[in-house]
Amino acid sequence: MNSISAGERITSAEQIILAARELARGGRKKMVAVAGASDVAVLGALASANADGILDATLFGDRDKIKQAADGGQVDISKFNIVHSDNPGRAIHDAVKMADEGRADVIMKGFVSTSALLRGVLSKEFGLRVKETISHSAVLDIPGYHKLLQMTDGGMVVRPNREQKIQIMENAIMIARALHLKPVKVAFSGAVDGRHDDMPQTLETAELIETISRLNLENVKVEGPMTFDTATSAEIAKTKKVFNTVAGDADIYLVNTIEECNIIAKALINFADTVFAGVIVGAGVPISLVSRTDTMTNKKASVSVACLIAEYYQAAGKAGGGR
Amino acid sequence: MINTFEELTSKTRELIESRGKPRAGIVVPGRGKCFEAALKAESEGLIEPVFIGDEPEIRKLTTEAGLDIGRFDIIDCSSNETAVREAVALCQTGRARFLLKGSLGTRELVRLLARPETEFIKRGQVFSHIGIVRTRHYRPLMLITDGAVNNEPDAARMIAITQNAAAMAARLGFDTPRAALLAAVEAIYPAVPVTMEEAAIAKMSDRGQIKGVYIDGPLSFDVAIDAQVARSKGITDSKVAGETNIFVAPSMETANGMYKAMIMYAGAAGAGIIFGGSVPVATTYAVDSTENVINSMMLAAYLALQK
Repeated sequence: MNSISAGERITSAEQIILAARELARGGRKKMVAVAGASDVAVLGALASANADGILDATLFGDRDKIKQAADGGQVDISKFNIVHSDNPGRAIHDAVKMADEGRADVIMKGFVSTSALLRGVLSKEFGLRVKETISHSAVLDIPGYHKLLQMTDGGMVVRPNREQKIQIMENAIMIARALHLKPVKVAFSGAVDGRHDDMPQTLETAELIETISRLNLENVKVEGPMTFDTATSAEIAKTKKVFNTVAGDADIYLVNTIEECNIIAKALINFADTVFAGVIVGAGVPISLVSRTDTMTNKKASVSVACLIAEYYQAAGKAGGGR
Repeated sequence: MINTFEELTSKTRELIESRGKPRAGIVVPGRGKCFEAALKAESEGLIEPVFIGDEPEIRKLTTEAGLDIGRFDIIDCSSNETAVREAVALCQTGRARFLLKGSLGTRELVRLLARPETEFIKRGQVFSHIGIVRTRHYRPLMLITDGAVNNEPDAARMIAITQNAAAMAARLGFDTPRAALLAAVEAIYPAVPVTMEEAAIAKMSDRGQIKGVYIDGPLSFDVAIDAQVARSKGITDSKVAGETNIFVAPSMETANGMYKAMIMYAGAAGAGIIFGGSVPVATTYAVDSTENVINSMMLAAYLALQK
């Protein structure tokens, strides 16, 4: 598969990258503001994505260090504008400002700490704080699963309460919308399937799902608690007699703790050839995060999915805050 | 040290040759993989099954399988509750060496085993579930705990389940097994309670308060399995990072999901055991193949016969 048409349902990492390129070809190329660009992994991903015609980027940080990082990794950054700043705080401020002023569509984390970057994004000085809960989503392309699986939150909210879980879900649903999924199927995680009186967590989850179903979210199906296998295998769900439209066909697996998400996703990434696109949502613009250990495909998928989310915000006039 | 399920099976066969075929209590067989696996293991001369459950149903199943019912012992029990009690009693009187969970749910089995009147566990002992995974991506066997018995373990429980896994690893010939207490990060943050608890347990281990196992934590999954990643994250003096045998998860969902992710998507072979009771209980999930059920029985048999 090497093309995808606008609005088509996106079911793989390859399609994420293709769709971002299609978007750019259609005159909606995104500008990525990189906070702390002296990071060879980030520069490599951007240069490659730029060469593919996916995006443009503006690099914020120490000019010499950015050039050094690029030279060290033999990355061609001649296509990118560099905005020099003396310290990481300044680089963050300037990158966020560019996004806030609407001149950048995506923020990308470079060689700065995640918490400092988020403080910058959420600063009252800018209008990017649109939601109480900012969350991380791992968009996973798992060979053997028939669609993309978003696991959330393995990076931001340590132990979400009810309200935070609803917001994490809304954030993830926005990503699903950006991927043109309809309906969006959300599975809430559990150590077991269904409710059990001796396991309070399962009762809380079941109750939360009832609350959510009363919100009447359009084209959203929410079920759980269910185990990972029930959520991702129709055959297993049938064996276990779990009959609902989400089981075996989940788009989003919403977990109870940061550890659960992070550990299971890393097991898949390390041992199951899973492509992983990590993105932070809930602010006015999506934030792309890649790490040195990510493969080039992971990095490109991360920044590409951020571009698709940015497009969704702009097209829907949502700026990250809508449901 | 046993590194693969093939090695495990051949070692178990050796034990069977010298000590005889173990009798295995198949608890509420039901239709499906467990029943198939029990019959297969029997036909290969690995076990002698005793079926515990509703007798008419069991007779029907064996007839359907084209087998002579006279070959097998059946203990007729009208409820799952009696079946579990009878199964444990069978083991305590030496008439079975280990159990295999059949069609009753893990949750129900655990609840019935945990009842004091079942006398499955000694006072003060903790029993826990250990999933064993073999993947081509990682050399040693991975012991993952606890995905089925201990929900949301506190520090004391986390130590106990780590020690159970270490005891099992030692029985499999691991020389001082290495246990990683898993978290999302390696850094210790007061705002993330799991990291504080795990760090405290690791400190206890450093000071020799927990014997027979190297423990480190918090460790993220990639640091636990990859020495290079560990170094790049500044973890340089760990006896565990990159060489983990035992993966201790901070919650049941985590261990459960990890095991299943590996079986479903990483082409891994697996087995499951409830460990720490009076006999090992081979326990499998719906995702497990018949082969995995046999692996679980071989593991239980090995642990039982080795004693």
